[in-house]
Amino acid sequence: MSTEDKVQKVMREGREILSTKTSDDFLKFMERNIIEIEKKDKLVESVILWNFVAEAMENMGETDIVAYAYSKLISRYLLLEDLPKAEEIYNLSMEKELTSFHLDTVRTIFERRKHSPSNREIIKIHKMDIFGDLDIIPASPSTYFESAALVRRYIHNNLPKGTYSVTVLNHKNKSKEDIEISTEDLVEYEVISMEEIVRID
Amino acid sequence: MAEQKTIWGSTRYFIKIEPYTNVFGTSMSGMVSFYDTHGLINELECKNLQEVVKAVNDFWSTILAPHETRVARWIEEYLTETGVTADYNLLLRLLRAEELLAEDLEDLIASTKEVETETFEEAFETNEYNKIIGHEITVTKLPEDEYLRKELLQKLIDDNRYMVPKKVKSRSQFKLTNGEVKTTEEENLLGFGETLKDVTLTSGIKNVYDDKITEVEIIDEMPYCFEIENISIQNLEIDPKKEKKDKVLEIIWEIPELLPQEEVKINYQLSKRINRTILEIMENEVIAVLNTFENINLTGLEFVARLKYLNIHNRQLQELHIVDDLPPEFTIIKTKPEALPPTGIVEKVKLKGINVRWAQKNVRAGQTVDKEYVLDYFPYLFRGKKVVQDKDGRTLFKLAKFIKSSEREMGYTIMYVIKNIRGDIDEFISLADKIPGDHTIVKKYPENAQIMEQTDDTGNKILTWIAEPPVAGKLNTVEVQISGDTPPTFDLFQVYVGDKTEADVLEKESSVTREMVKTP
Repeated sequence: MSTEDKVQKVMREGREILSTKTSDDFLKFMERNIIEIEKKDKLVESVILWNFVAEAMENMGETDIVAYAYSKLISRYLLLEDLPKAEEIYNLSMEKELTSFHLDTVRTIFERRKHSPSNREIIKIHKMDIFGDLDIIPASPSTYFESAALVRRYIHNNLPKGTYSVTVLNHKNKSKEDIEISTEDLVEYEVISMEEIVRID
Repeated sequence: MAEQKTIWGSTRYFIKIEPYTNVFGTSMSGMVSFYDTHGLINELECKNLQEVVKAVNDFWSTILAPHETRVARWIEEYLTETGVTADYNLLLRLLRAEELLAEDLEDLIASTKEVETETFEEAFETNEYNKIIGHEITVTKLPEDEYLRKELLQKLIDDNRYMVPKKVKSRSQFKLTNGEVKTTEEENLLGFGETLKDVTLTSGIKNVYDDKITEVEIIDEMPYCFEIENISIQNLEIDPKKEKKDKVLEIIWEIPELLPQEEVKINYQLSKRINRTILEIMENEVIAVLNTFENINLTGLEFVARLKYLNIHNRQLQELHIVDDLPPEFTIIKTKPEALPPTGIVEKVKLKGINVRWAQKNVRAGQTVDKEYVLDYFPYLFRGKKVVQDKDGRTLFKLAKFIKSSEREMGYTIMYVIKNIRGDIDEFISLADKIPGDHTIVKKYPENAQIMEQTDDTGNKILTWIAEPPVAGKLNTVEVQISGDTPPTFDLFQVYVGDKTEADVLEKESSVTREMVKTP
């Protein structure tokens, strides 16, 4: 059977599964077949099938599976070196506010591959003291970062060891986010903890 | 320490796996992190090996075309480099998503029933008020497939491992003056004692009625995972009866009468035991599962546990599996015989503790399998914090005390910290703290810190640190190194501002947990 026929057959059988079984069964069936096709380096066919999965699942309102399919599509377009197509899916996933672990991973890979302009700025840094209180320390303004991961790396490399809460302004969508990060060397302890609030008149 | 490793066939993408246990198996959990040359891309905490291999494979197939055998080989090599002996075939099997696990295994278990264990208790020389809990499991067929067989045995062990409760049930019954019989039931939280090994429990009853109550009976359902070291009942000279039940030892108190508003408090000092799970595999698909509870004894400066096993069946066992779960407060110094894979494995699970697994084939009828553990405390940290408020509820100071363990003969270090929140008090602050009478201050930092030593009526030493309050928002710290060959006392200090001391405790909370922390 040619690969083209195989793709048609998988889509046909996929539709049948959709009408009789659950979305998870459909995804399992499709993924198993796509892996087989990809093993033969047939990435174009893989993209056709992932598009089919995304469309079918969107119609059924299965956003988790759509997010998964989009992550596969972005990564496959990247493997095919088709950056405009990857960007198209990337933008669609942002518009639809889809999120999942794998989609976030692939989007970060895409952003880095595309060298998207820096858009995050640290505007506030708080350091945690021994009591868990956050004290503000001077931030370094006008340093821009491409992603939250790079903000983390900056904290690791440029600040003394400690636990920080960093407020980052994303200039692209004007939103603020707080990143909690500890750069301490942590050791495993059996911790006996006692806390008291007392009154002295 | 786990390192990043390049994905084969790529120069810019890396993966790091941090396993939470040193023992390879399907239950191996851990953190998987993905990097490129810019740094971290994303990371995922995985609950088991299947999730670990899926995370690696998903990331791998984002960068390159899928290649299960290469991924399995890569993970095997990675884990071996971090000191975990991995199995390529199992990794490949999980990658190919053969869903052999949970549901299928459940189908293999035909029946489970409780069994009498008196003969085991006699053979294992179990103490009078200790118990062995026994089950007999029949499986439809022991799988011939090596992995399925391993998984099934692991499942039987995991399903039957004893879970240490956090609370202890207490029931009571009494008669009102009108003859009506009332019953109550409550769960009492276990607390921690003066040393890491100790656990405390308080139960009791208060007569809330306007008349006396009579024929009061309190039954505390003590789990067998605790050894009772000491029992006391306030203001009464009675001894309890003890009755062994299947799952708990009932401590029964009979009090003739209680006057209105009279309260009785019962205090238990308990000690944690090693929880042992034994799997005896007979030939005919019948598996006996035993839970035993083993004492840990202080011998000189060491904690020692001696665990006995005897094959009381009048035939050879095909296989014997034993898992000893140590209380998380302990770590292993030595095992006798030495735990050497594959027959003896010491598993260290991140944030959970240590267990020792033994496996032996063809155990003869009447054969004994004895083990001995020499234990020490797992590195501990005492973290005590006190917030001092004025009568209007405004926070004046925050104070902390940290105790860090050193080598046993070296003693320990206590650090005290004062943080001035408002900065409008300039009176001296004093922290009065108790240490065992035979412990001695060896060093303090800063050397000019004012610390007084006194001995109280009970023979304990009272250390009083007198300090000027730091400026608002700042910390004042002193560190004291103490020598002593017994553990420190885990308790908070008393605070004085000028000549005023604590008028009231508004809130109090305590816990013992395994944590990843920065050493103060």
